[in-house]
Amino acid sequence: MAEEPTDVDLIRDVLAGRVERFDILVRRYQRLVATAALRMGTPRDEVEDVTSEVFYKVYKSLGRYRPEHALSTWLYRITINASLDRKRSMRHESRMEELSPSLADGRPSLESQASDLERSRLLQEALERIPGHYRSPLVLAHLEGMPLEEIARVLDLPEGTVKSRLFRARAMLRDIIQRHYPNLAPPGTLERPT
Amino acid sequence: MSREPGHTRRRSWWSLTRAGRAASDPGIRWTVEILGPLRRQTVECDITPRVMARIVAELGGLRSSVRSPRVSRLAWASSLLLACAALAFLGSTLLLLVLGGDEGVRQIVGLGFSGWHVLMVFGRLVAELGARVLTSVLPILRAGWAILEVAAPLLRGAGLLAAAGGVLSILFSTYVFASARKTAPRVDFQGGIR
Repeated sequence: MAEEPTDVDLIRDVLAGRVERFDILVRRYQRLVATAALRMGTPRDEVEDVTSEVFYKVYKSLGRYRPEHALSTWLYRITINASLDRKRSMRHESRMEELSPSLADGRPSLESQASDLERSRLLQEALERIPGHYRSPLVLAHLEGMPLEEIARVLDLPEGTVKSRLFRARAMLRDIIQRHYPNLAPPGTLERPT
Repeated sequence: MSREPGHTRRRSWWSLTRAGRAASDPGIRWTVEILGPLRRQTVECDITPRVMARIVAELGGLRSSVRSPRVSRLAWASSLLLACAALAFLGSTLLLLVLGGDEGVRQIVGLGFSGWHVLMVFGRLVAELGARVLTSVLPILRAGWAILEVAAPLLRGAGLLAAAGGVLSILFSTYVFASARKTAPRVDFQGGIR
């Protein structure tokens, strides 16, 4: 059985002119990039656009890739920047308009429809309320399951800064859920944080 | 109207301290539990054809100008060979003309020798002039250097004094500004002065 080519081998091939090899890299990482883009607050119908834009950027700057770090680290960095750029370009839109009326007026409406999908949508809304530079470490740590050291590398920040942003991001998330989505919190966890 | 949760500036000062921050952080377990539905959510998409089509379309435009390294090496070697052949042809033609006793060539050779002679004389004149200028300027430069060496401690002292004066001036300005702020009249939002 033929051995799977490594990322570095593929990148070397693409740089040597075998562009069709980039196809393998896209197939290998498209799920990771698309999921990260979604978790960073990209609407589902725009995830494919952002993902293809990320891979196009990767292709254009492939010569700048440093093999001492994993390709996924670099991909996460480009995905986060692309998602935040998209968010910035849509900043003029009011946040309250994006919310459903039942949430905007503070009335709980989750008792009857606490499905995973609905919870995900509301959690996504809650995450979108956190400023980008706090949301990024939160997503990388608690959704992508990345260690602190790698998050620091992805965001190009010192580990101490990442740690303090994580503290703040978690506090913000708790505050947002307490105020706007109380039904999302596991029972009894808002009053006595663990 | 509820306060925008993303706004952190309105928080009390203690929340910025380590203790305050730790108190409002709900902890990793809580965050992991609450973000569970989002973590289980992944995106399945296939953007490979789209990305590759874009890359190939761009390459189509560049294909005419960008060549593979092998082709460039070949082009470089053939142009070098061509240049050597042209030089050999030119040299042999000249040699033939000189050996054949051509009148024009004899005149050109004579002109070349005269030009060389003029260049030599001119070069010698310029070198002599340079030497004379250097002989007169060097003692002045040496004297200047000696003065600088003697005056160095004085200059250093003057520099230190100037720096100390600057620091004192900044401190004094800060003091004056701080006392002016304390005694300045306050303007309320209606435009009145209190």
